[in-house]
Amino acid sequence: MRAWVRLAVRLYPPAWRTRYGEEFEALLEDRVRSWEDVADIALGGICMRIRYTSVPAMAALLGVSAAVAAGAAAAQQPDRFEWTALLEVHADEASDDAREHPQLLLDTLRSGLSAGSLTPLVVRYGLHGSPGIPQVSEELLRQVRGHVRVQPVLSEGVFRISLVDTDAQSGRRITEHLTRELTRATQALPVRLHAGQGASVEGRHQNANRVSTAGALGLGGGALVGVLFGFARRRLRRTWPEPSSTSNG
Amino acid sequence: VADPTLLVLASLADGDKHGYAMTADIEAFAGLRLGPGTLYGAITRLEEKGWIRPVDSEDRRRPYRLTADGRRQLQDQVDSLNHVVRTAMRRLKNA
Repeated sequence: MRAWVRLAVRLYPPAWRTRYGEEFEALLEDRVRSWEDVADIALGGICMRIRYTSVPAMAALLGVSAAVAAGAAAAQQPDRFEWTALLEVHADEASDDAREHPQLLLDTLRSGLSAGSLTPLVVRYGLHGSPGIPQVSEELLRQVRGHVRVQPVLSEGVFRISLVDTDAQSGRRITEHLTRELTRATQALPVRLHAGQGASVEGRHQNANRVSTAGALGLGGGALVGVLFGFARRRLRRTWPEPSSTSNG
Repeated sequence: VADPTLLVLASLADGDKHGYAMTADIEAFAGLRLGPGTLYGAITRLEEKGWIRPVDSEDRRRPYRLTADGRRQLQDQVDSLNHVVRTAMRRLKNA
């Protein structure tokens, strides 16, 4: 137990030990009887360490700690890649339906994301996790739909298909597949989607800077908490009001 | 009453004491056993506020003394506690 007591005493800041160390150790020689006392010494050391830490040092300590924790947590997150393809809209001008082509195309895209259309894609790319057992649940299809976004960009006359995936290569393949399927699905319509010159699939590492971003946010947040804690600590020290001058001494 | 700073002030009210004597005294009059870390946390805070001060000693066990400010502070706290106790007693009797 003596060794643990010595270890607990080391938790006290050097400035405090310079002032109180000798008398404190004299007390410990007489006084320590249980593990409860050891825990009390350690807790007192932590409190005193906080008490003797200046506001800038507290801000730096919490900032660096939060930055390391946030960076480590961000590093555990998987990479996310966003793949984007642009499909050009072509319409038969002679057709009356062409005037309604945004709605017509949206209906076509909705059917392109239906269970019947997505199931072969899920099976083909093994998205269900068991390549040998092609069971595609409605839940899985819902997840796939959640990762795919199809947006009309009317000002440019194109549809943008984007997909976010943690696997760079499968994301590219799925986006290419969807692009082909949607092009094929609209071939017989008066308005068609066409993978033209600008329709190549482009990839982007969506969260490449996640560690540095999380670290910077952690540093700033931790430093702010440290400053606020430092000022709050000064106020909390005044647990009692100052002595009144009218009281008898 | 479990505030260690109040207990230390009360213990020093009848004379100088070092840490070990304070814990023994507090245990005797309040039935509470302050751990070494808790005791010296209270001593540190009280000395910072100027309510107690160390007394020169040859011994490694340094005694502490209540200052005039500390005595006034203790008096204020005791008056406040007395008021609470009297109120509680009166209400218990009337209940």
